[in-house]
Amino acid sequence: MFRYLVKRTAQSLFLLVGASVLVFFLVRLSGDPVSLMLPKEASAEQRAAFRAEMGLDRPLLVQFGDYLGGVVRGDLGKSLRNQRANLELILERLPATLELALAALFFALLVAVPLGLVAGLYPSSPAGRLADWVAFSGQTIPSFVLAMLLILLFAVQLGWLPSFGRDTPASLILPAIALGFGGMGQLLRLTRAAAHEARRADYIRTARSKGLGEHRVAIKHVLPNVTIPLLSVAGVQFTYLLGGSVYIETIFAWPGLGSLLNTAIQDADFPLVQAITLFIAFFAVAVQMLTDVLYGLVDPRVRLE
Amino acid sequence: MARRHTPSAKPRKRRVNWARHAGGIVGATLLAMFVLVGVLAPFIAPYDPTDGDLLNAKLPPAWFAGGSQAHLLGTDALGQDILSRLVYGTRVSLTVGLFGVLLAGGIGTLLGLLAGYYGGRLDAVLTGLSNLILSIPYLILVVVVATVLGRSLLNVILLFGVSGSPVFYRLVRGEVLRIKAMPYVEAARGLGCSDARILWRHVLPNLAGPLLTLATFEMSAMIFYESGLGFLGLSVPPEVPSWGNMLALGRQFLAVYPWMAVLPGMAIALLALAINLLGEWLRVMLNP
Repeated sequence: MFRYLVKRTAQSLFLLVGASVLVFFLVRLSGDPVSLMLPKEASAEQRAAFRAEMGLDRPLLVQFGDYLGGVVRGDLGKSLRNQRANLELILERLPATLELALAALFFALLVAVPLGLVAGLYPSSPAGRLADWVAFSGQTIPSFVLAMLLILLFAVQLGWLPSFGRDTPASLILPAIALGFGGMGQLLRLTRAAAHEARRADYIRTARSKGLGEHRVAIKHVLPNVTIPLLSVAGVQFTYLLGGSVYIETIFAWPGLGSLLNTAIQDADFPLVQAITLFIAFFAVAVQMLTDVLYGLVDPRVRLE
Repeated sequence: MARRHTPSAKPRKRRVNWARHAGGIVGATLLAMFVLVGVLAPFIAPYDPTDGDLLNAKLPPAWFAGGSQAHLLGTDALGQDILSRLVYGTRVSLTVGLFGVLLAGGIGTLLGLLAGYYGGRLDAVLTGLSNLILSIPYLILVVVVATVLGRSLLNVILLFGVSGSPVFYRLVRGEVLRIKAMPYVEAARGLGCSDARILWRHVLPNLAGPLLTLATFEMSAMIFYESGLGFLGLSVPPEVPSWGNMLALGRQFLAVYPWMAVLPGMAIALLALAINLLGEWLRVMLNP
């Protein structure tokens, strides 16, 4: 286990350094970030002054070293519009995003696991057909379209749930469904496949022959074996949800990282865009590492790879 | 398992199992219709999609109260005909989907073949790079790069082509590692075939099935991403009629004039449905 941990940590470190480099150069892909940050009417002197103020007149390599040094010290620069430290702004918004992403994951699992379990054990039952349909619709309706349909139905027509903000626990429901829906299909397929396979396993036959009821077999013997592959995919899903939050948070005016990123983009606040991207990339790497380590703990075969 | 005929029975006619092919047929027909609509857009669209008529703005579809027969699906906030914009929007979505997938598939397949076949340092570098790109949440990556590059159709295609390639790379590299060890590849090498010939004639044909399946799913994903970028105002320029741009405009009037956002949303879902039905059918047919 120790060797696996060391190896996995080294990989994560490589990804962190790589992500820092990638983000730095991505934001400079266009060549001149100043033209993106200042209005077209800005004079040459204004541009030069701005460039000097931002340190953009220095050689690229010096800027890069400065940036990397900052990242190591946990300094992600200052926002252009807010005149505050980027990290401060990010940490302020982080809880809302985590809350939404976790709620979305919870919703997805809540539907996917029971439905997938039944569908895998009894493929030709009505539940099996429903599962096919649910898994498929996740791929054909984009989250932002679903979000608008949910708002129209539950907020505008029926008036049951709020359509924006984060004031009451009820405001979490619609965004969580819209965000979780896309990933639900993948989790559902996985649960179904794992349950389908487990159906024929020896230990299930043994459990049945002991005289256990179908429900007990499903919950005590099939479910634990489905949990392991689910765990690793849930980690991947979580980072995917962080990305999807850009759309969902924007639509529902949810005060999280996604809407902060969208505002930063609209304001051409590039230091903030860069900081948020880097933060989310780091976060994703950390979540991935955590799930891999958990996976290695649960399933010893993984460690040998 | 092949069914055995009794010696006396006449060979039975093979019956086509239509139920198995229903999804594929529906998907292909729908997709063909979308392609046709896109190609023939100037002949189908009743109006110029960018012609705004502010006197007739925000008209509901014809079958609602206040709707007009002149604008079958109504008009948007700028008085542009929604049906015409939907028809022209098909072009943007299909172009991005098709060329995005071709580019991503081309880059990913080529690099995957090389990395999987030759291994070594090349493989280590390319795999590290692809893992790196895959480690950043895709939607964030796409949004940020689109912001930096600016709004144009070519930029969107390039962005999806490059950022979508690691998925193809991963698939191809893994398959090549498996196929490389097969006896027939060994035999071809023994006969003195060049590397290029082995890759082209013996490895690539075995990849066609999984590649085609992945390509369809990636295509519908790219169509989603494009409209998502448009929705945030980061895809093609705002005056270009695209479904994403229609969503972006419609969102501002969602509560009052819902059709402005619902109609393009339905178009996206229907196109994604067509491609996914086809992809699902291909998956079952090609990867038994």
